[in-house]
Amino acid sequence: MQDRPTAYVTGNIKGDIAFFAGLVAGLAFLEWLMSIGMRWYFGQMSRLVERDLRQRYVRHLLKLPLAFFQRQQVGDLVARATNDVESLQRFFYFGLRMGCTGLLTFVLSLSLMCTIDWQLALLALLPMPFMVLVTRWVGSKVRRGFRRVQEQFGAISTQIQENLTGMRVVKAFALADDEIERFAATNQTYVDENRRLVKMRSLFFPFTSLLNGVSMVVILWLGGLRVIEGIFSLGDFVAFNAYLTRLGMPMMMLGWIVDEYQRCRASLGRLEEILAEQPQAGLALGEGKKEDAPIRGEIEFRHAHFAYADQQVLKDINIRVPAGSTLAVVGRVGSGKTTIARLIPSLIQAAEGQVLIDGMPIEEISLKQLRDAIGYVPQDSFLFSDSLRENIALGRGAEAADRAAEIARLTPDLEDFPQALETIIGERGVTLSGGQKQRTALARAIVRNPQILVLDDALASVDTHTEEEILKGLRRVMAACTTILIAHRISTVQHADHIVVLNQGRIAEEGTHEQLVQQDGIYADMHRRQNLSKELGAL
Amino acid sequence: MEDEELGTKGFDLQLTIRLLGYLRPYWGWVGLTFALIFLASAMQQASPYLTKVAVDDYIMPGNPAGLGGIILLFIALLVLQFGLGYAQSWATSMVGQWAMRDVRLALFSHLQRLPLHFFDRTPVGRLMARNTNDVDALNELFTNGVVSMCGELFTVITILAYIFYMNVELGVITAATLPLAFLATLWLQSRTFESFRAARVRFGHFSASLQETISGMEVVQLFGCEERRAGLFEEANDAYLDMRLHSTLYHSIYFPFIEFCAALLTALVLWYGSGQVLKQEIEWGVLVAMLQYVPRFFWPIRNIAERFGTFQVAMASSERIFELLDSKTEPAGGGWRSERVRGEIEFRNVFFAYHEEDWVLQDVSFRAAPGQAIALVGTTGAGKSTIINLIGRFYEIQRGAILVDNVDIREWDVEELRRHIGVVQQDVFLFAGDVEHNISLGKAEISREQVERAAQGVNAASFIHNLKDGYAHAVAERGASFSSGQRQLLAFARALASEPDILVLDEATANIDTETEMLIQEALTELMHNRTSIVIAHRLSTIRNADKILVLHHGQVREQGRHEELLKLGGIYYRLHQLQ
Repeated sequence: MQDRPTAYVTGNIKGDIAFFAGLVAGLAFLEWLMSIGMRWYFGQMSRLVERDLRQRYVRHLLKLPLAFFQRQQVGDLVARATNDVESLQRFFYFGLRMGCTGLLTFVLSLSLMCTIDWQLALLALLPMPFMVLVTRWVGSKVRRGFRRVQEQFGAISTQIQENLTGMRVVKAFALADDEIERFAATNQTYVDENRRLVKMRSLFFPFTSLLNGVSMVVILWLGGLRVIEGIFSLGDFVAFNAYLTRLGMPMMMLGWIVDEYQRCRASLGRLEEILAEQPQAGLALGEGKKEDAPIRGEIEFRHAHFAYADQQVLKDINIRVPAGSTLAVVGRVGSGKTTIARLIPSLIQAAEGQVLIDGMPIEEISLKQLRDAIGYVPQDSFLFSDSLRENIALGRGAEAADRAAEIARLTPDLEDFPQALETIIGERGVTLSGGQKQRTALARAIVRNPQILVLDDALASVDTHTEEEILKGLRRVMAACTTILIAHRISTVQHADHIVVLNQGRIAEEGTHEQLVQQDGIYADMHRRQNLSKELGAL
Repeated sequence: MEDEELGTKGFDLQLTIRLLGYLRPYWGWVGLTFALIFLASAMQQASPYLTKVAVDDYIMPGNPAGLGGIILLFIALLVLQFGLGYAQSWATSMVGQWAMRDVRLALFSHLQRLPLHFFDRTPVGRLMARNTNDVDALNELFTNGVVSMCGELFTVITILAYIFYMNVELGVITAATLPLAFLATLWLQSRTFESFRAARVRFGHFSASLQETISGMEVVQLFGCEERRAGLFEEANDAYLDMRLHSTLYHSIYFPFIEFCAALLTALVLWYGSGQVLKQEIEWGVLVAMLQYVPRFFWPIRNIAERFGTFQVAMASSERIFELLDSKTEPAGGGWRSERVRGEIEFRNVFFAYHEEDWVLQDVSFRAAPGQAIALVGTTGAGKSTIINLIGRFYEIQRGAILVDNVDIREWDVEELRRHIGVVQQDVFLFAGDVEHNISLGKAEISREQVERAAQGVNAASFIHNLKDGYAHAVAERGASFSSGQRQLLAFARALASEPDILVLDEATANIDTETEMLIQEALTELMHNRTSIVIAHRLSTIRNADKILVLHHGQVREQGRHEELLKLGGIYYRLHQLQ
């Protein structure tokens, strides 16, 4: 016990007090300046890492084979680039920074405490191991609970999306009450899952502050006794107390950092899962083996088989399409027509047999070169929320878009659009009709001057009159390339050089229009029916 | 997406009051939560004071036994703190969860009552965001917002109270630093307000861009525009980074500054307090307790500052949620109900326009006797689908009247009316779930047997049997694995299973192969048998079998009669016929 404090620095006590108080303030000012730098650099680093990681993820996605995207939900893939990358950023900014400063504070405070009384210091830290154990235990429970909550949240979103997209059915069949009831149940399950999570998560801070409190008790008690016994000065006691206050923060933070770290690890796992997917060889990188001669456009299927899961879609397909000619494929829905179309740009690969382009197995051609040579119009045309011109050009010479729009008979419709080809499509722009979408997709294929043109039922949403005009315009394009024409209307396909009729994945008939009509098989039957309905005037 | 994330204001009292309305059912819990917060806070801040008592009353005078007593008290306090802290955290979180559940359900229920034209112009994604992200953001208002903010404020007050109780001068000094922290907080708020909002908007941009790229991956890869899409994404990503760095800079200055404030106060306390201790004006223990209080004093302030951003987001979210909740629902109709409907339909001088006076239907009148089949014929845009939509009162007519069984449909209870009408649309919407669910639509009153009978009736049974799991076959991705013919048949089965008295049908045109076509024609006969049917007809067989054909042209009924009569007339019908 010191009743008469002695002056150290200035020679009088008041001066000393002012000196030390000033020192505290001065150090605090320095700390402020340095903290600014620290936070700024950690912040910058975490944000840059976030940006880079996101960029790498997206670039990787762009190289993955299409089969990958058929397995995945779009929303989930987006969530990985947003939520998961953000949770990494958070860890780098908060977790890592707190971890570093916490560790330093811990080591410094502890060693300063040890210089005063190492036994008491160790005793004060007694709750530490418990803290680690408890936070890990609670942490793992919370993580699991969190995952369940996320899953249930997914169920909620799915249900809402279903309901909204099917709103016409919901209304027409007066399902509102059933739907509300169903939603209320899912909603309640979500709350229940949350309750389970809250039960564990609410333990976190009370527990850490409890253990922190235990340290305080140890100091107050043993430290207090030491002061009473005269081993400790009151100053030592105060210093111990102050250090412990500083230690408290990193100790309390520890649990939280562990939590953040685990969340970050889970997110990293989800990102790595995608990054580990094998990119499709040769995609957009020109990795193919041969890239010498330009593609002429001869296509050949040699005993090609294809199956989705356990369902045989194509069986033993043999077709040769000479460069520059037109092949039409007709057949019932589900007979395998689209599968044939998709094999050509290698969107899918034959399970058995071969697809050859210019006599070369398709796998040996660089994917980039192959696809560059193909103009493909799928059944469902996907348009980006960009200008019409950009949607047609897709990064190629935008000037050619005008001509392509003309051939695809899109030009007459342009009058209705506020800025013609410059009109932005999508949420804030105009919405296109099914026929307009198909014609845009057609123009997109034409603009590339392809060696191979694949039209997969590309004119289904266009009325017969417009179809005729489009075909008239297309004739010049088709003359310059190999065309695969898939359609339902006989009128569309009758002028093709060669027509293949598919039935249950096999080629049932083939020949020219006249030959097939004479054969009196499936094609002739289709022809007859369509003629009949034409004559009778089905509207 | 553009301005989606932008709120118009920072804090809106009216909005807040309305939001708090959602807490009303749980007022007991809310009261308890507040009580717990106050208690927990008072307990939490008692420990430094106990330290002071220990120092002044037992350590300085040298009383080990008394110190033991205080220690026991301290331990009891810790246990209490733990219990209160847990209960408070639990109650706060759950009140928020319950309130969010209610908002979510209210939104969902409200959406069910909105008129179709609302959905015609609102993208699904936007409504999804209301019901998920926006509701979640509300949590920031309910639990982290109102409740926690009060808690933080109360902590500041409690600490000040303890300090004032110990020594008034020290209390004044402590309180004097508040404006400094307050001003700093305001400064941060004003600096980061804009960039925070902008960051949200840009976040929206790049996720939208990414979503689009992934959805259109086939086109991206086929047409080799990977580089371009990556470039677009990176542009948005970089813009987001810029905004984030901007607010990071200000945060980097602010948060350490609050720590600096704490250290500054410590220095003041040391300087003033030590002098007083020497003059024996205050006791040693007060100084010890003060050193513990000072860092605690600034925590709540920085906590509040940290929440500003999320608070802002939540405000914007609640604004959008209420906007949606306030949108006008479709009329519930009069109270007319009827067990059995004969199926008489009459249009009396009906005028209808989607926009103002841009008439889609003009003076349309026709009558369908019970059990009759009416075929609607005309070019695209003639108004055929509109007629179909009007029967179920999906849109409101401007003039004239539509009567079902001689009762104006506006006098019908809307749900009841629709229950009697079976609708088959051109593009069939299939729900996730199995085939059975897609036929029964989850209605409890439709048994499995009825589902099978309906499928049988419309020729859908055979293809369903060929599916791997039959009726339990899961419909994946909106039924992409089904052909359009199969989808048609499923829609027929769905309509038949609900045993409607009136059938409204929009015949599909494209993509039906001949064999399925035969099945469909047979199914149609079965479906239309014995019930009034209004059909947008494309099939000759349907048209020929119709009791009456209505020829629509520019929104008017120009001709009506049977096939042969109309052909003989040599008018529009005849010309439509020739055109093909």
